[in-house]
Parts: sequence; C-alpha cells; structure tokens
Amino acid sequence: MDTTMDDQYVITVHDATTGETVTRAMTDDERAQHDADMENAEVLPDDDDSPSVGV
Amino acid sequence: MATNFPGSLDSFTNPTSGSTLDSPSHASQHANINDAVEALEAKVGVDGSAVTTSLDYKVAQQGLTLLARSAATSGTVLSFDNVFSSTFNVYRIAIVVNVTSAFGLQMRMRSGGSDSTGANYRYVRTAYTYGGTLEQSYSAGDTKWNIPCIASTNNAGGVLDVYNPYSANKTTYSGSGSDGRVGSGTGGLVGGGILNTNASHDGFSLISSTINSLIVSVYGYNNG
Repeated sequence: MDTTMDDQYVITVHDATTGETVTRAMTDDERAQHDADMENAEVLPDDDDSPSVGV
Repeated sequence: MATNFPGSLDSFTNPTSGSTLDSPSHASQHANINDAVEALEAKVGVDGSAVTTSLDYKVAQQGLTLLARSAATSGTVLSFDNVFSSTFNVYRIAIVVNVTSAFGLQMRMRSGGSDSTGANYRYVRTAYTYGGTLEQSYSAGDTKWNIPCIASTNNAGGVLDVYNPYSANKTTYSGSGSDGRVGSGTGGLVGGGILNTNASHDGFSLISSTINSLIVSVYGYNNG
C-alpha cells in the first residue's frame, strides 16, 4: 500500500475467484460515495470506557 | 500383508539395494501397494460418491463451506467480489472488527466490482443499552444497510445471513452482533433488511470508520 494515501480513502478488495486481496486508494467515484456515507452515518457517542450504569 | 488402512496406517518393508527378489517378496511388495492404493481410493471416494464413509460424500454433506476470508488493517472499506454465485442460496458473513472511533458498520451489495448505491436499502436494527433504553436505527430508503455491529476501539463482531443474493430478485439479510463500546454501549444488536431492487449481486462491501483490524469470513450453507 502507498503510505502516502489518506487512510480514510483506502479500500481493500478481495476477489474470491482468484483469492487475491488488493489494498488501494479509492477511485474518485468511490471517494465521493464514501464522503456521502460518512455524511449520512449515525452519530454515535465515543466510548468513555466506563459503564453508564453502576455495576 | 493386506493393507491396514483406513483402520490404521501401514508400515511397509522397503527393499534395499542388496535385496533379492524373494526377500522381501517382490510379488508381495506389489500386492501390498495395490491394496493400499485401493484402500485410499475407497476412502476418498468417486465423484458424487454415495458411500457414507468416503471423504467425497462427507465433504458434500458438510453444513458450511468457507468461500472467502480476507482482512483489512487500514482504510475504511473492505469489499468482496465474486463470492456469491448460483452454488448456494444462503450465505453467512462472520465479522470481527476494531476501529479508531465508534461506528455502526454499514453494508452494501455489490456486482461486477461496483457497489449498488441506489436508495433502495431498507433495514431495522435494534438494541438495548445497559441502562435498558431501546435504541433503533431504521430506514425505508437508504443507500446502505446499517448492520447490527457497532465497531469501536474494543473488539466487536457480528454474523449476518444473506439470502439469495445471486438471484435476480430482492436480496434480504438478518443477523446479530455486538457493540464494542463500554460506557455508551449496547448489549448486542439484532437486525435485518431488504435491498428493494431486483438484481443479482456477486459481492458486498463493509463500510467503517478508519480500520485497525477487520477480519471477514464468508461461508455458503449447504443447499441440502
């Protein structure tokens, strides 16, 4: 993998026919789709690593 | 010596450069090897064997067949191509994931190396928090499924069953998974959905926040 690639725009593709796995930079279309996915993603609270309910 | 296989392994006497044809018996050497090869053939079985003790029969009867396994240690998407076919009707996808920030995993069906990105994904995902609060995620027209697995910096995972993805009909899935979060987490998730378009798919994509580790195995259920 090209270490200069922005990690959020990296995709890994596995071809089950050949058994080959390729990690590469997203194409422009894939990148635009990923931006849309992240924009519409759920907003989840980060984990504070402590139980919210007493134990 | 008749062969002991498959009850136990044979131990043959090898002739040396100084051995005569009668010690060990040359005829017996051939007979022993012939018997052993025949025993091996019987154990392996012919194509489509109906002999229940043959390996060919046992392999054909097994419940799940591993079709593909892959992993990502960077990036945000892991896609599988050419994993769904007409060979199986139902597939199981097993996921183990660890990411840099909390994220509900998303999934899209895929064909010919491209995701199906239309707003045709319908899903419901349900969970209870550790405080007993019901949390739901649902849509009747999204561009992806929110699947029942919430990734975080702790390991999480899920198992999904996907039904008839290769047929030119609507694909459905159901499954369950865990939530890697502790303080704000839920005690496991269940969910399911339908891709409301008639199309054949040969793969899928899992979409995440930045991946530390994402390991995915895909199995086909024996059609019986």
